[in-house]
Amino acid sequence: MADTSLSAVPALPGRRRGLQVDGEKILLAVLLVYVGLFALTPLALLFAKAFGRGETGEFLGMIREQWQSVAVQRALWNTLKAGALSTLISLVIGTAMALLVGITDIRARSPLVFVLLLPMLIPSQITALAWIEMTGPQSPILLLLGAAPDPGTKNPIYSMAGISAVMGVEHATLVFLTVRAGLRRVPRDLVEASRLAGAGPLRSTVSVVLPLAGPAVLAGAALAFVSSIGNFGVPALLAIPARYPMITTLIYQRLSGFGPDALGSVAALALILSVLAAAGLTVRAFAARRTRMVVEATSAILPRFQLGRWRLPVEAATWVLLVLIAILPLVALVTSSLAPALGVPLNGRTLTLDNYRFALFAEQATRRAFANSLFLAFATAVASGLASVGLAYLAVIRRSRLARIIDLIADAPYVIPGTVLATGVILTFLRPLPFLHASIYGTIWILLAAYFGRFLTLALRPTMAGLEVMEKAVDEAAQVAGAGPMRRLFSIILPMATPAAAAGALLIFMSALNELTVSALLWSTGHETLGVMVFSLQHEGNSPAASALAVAAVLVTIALAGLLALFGRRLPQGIVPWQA
Amino acid sequence: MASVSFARVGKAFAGHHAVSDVSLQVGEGEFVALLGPSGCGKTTLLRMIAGFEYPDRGEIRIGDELVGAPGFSVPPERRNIGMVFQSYALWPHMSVAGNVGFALKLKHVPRPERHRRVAEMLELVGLGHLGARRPHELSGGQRQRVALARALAARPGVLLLDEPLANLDAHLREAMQREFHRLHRQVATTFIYVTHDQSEAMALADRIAVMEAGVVRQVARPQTLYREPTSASVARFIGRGMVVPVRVTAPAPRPGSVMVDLFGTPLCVRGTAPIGATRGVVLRAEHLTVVAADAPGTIGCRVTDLSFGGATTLVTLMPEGPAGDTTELRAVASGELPEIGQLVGLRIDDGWLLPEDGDTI
Ligand SMILES: Nc1ncnc2c1ncn2[C@@H]1O[C@H](COP(=O)(O)OP(=O)(O)OP(=O)(O)O)[C@@H](O)[C@H]1O
Ligand SMILES: [Mg+2]
Repeated sequence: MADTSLSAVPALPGRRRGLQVDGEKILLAVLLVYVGLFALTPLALLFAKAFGRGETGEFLGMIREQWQSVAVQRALWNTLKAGALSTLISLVIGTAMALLVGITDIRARSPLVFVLLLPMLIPSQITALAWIEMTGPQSPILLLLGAAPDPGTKNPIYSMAGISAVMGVEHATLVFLTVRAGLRRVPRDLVEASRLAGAGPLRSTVSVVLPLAGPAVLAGAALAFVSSIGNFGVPALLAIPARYPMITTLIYQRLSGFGPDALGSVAALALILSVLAAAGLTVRAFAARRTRMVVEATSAILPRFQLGRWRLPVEAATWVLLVLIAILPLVALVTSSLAPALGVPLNGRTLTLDNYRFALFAEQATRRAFANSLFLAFATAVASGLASVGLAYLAVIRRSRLARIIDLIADAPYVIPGTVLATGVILTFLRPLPFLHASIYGTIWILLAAYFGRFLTLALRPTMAGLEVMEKAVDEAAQVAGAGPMRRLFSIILPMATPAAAAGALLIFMSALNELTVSALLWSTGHETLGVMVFSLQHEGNSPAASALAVAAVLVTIALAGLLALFGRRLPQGIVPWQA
Repeated sequence: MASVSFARVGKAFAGHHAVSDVSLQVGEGEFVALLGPSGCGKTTLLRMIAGFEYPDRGEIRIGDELVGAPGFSVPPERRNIGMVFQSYALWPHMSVAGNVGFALKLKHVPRPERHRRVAEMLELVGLGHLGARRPHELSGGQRQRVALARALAARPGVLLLDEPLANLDAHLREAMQREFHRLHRQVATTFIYVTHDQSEAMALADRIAVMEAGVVRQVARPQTLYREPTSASVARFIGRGMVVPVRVTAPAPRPGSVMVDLFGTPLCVRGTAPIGATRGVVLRAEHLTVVAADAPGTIGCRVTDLSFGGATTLVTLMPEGPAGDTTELRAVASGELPEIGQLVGLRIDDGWLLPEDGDTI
């Protein structure tokens, strides 16, 4: 094998060792510290803690105690039940939509896809809030239909079914995207051959398309499952009021109730969650491998089956469903944000912007939250963008094996549930930092540390992809011209990788701006984030203000998404996630 | 300019020997072509000069300086070489002038001097007016020239070119060949040029190193390579020579020649060998003439195929007689053509006897 790793090239003996070589080593060291501190250490400490002895000093005591606790067993069972049900819902909606969009002649494909991808732009807690507004006794929509539950009765969304429905709808997007990608890999000749053999459209779909897309469906379902067991935004707003404990909410309640004292038991809970997630991800990896085995790349798009006289009814049914699950909740959210107070019907005279005034300007804490979230999102986006260019350069162009390993590790904090990462981050940063002699626990810096770990991969993936397709000779040409490694990084690689890294950074900015899961465990007074604020306003019973803040946050996100879409047109395929 | 030398260099990828035991001296200011079929190790050899690959065995020197040996390598940026990549590898985010001037900037050449040199280089390749353009605004041939100007800008001791013309159409290729020739004389730099096109190598190079399966088979001037190949494989590769086994029968009247027996007909060929030895003789279609069937001193053959090629026609023949039925010969004919199946005579004007170790068949 071509051993072109850095260490294979010793410097000339007796010659001044170039500064450039050292620059490269420094870069590698910085990245090693970055990933080591923000990704590897939190996870390692978490596992060490979880596998530790319990209060009685018993071997593996932590895990055993939690495993035997009735409360934990109940939360685990609830998590699995809601996870399974929501996965089923995602599977049905996602697969059906992917088939409709992928292989039928349904019209208005682009708006359809846009609506299906909305959940990627709207964070869980806001989706949950929107559903609360839609199904509750105050629901403007139900009031209009005269179908609202009586005031004072419990909102039906606060239930296992409600939680599963909201998560199911939210994660249907993941199944949709995976299955749509899978359908693209089905070779059209196979379908055409089945048509020639006498199979009608439906028969071809059932006998040829679905079996070939099967692994993709499985992969999508596994992804939906992993996302739902790790979801915190929906359970936070629905499961806590419903008194339906789940693992993520249990972790949250223990940490916010007992603080760092609960870390041991929380680490064990986080471990249980990680094992579930790992099982799901294994299924997904297996299924993804199967998809790749089905066929090599084909460019031809599947033939579109004619829906014929069924076209209009199918289209109508699709849109009714989408309006119901994706549009109406948002309408309810906006309406509730414009209502003067709980229970006052909304009309032209009562409509008010007071909630926005309160949420955005009057309330100290939300102003702070906006500032904090903007700072955190910006800092994380910039740091991750830069780190990923450096790492991608070392891994892809310089073929450093260590950089490849760092790249693998960088994925972990994103694929594991956010509560798990947050627990690990507390374990890492609770003790005073070596040179600072102070702990960053309870400051904004611990949020930043967690975000650094959590989001790096979002910039790393597009940057790596961008450099992988870049021609290596471009770097070699600079080398022949006399440029050392660091010089090439700045003069050649950075300019060329910037579009992809910037797209990734923008994606991070959007995600970090509304982050709740990690922040909920790490925030402290004065260091709130937007996601946390929406959650606490709703918790305090001020749902109009929560709605107003949520609407504002969504508007910012959609504006950013528009920017990214503009940008994405000039990027290679597969860098912006919602681009076909 | 600088010389380049390989001493018993070997390089394997995952156990597969891409280059084995290559020794080669390239003199200062020389134009050497590395020629060979696809996968024979040309690019690997070139990349070892550049420092992108490291030899497993042997030593590589540029000038007197050792630059590559097992476990030791001077990084490419310190070798003072230029390279023209097959894909050109122009930096898309820099202008043409930026591309050409980059190496000078790295050498801290002061700005006015740099501008002057960049302009001079662009002038040299005939692109003086295009300095402000971006690479994507250029045609393929112009990109090629920019790549050339960029590679030469820092006055490298050695210029490496890896199939630089492979992406151009036939017309442009010819024009660029003349360009390379002119540039080589003008800039006085050592050129090492990889190609698998022998006419390109013949037209350009002072000497050609013919490679096969990771080994250099012969290094010689183009005429020598054509007239006096040292092995059957080189003879076949260069100009599609035919190799036929013969026995040396007698000394020839001309010095440096011997008489051999070819399909029962005595023939005088160039080369030396003891009487009685069995060797391969190299025949070329352009030295074989089809004549009347019973002309004296010719080999009786039957025409098996005709292939029209414009000014000349290639005639495929099968010698008559016991030894003949296994060896096909090709001759170039113009004017009146024989017919397929016709019995003709074949006159042989020139032949070259391979040396003893020139793997006969
Ligand atoms: N990085 C590598 N890893 C593994 N094998 C390699 C590598 N580079 C080259 N090889 C192998 O080494 C051999 C020589 O390759 P090389 O690129 O030098 O051939 P070449 O003569 O330039 O061919 P071409 O005319 O097709 O460019 C080939 O068999 C090739 O497969
Ligand atoms: Mg090559």
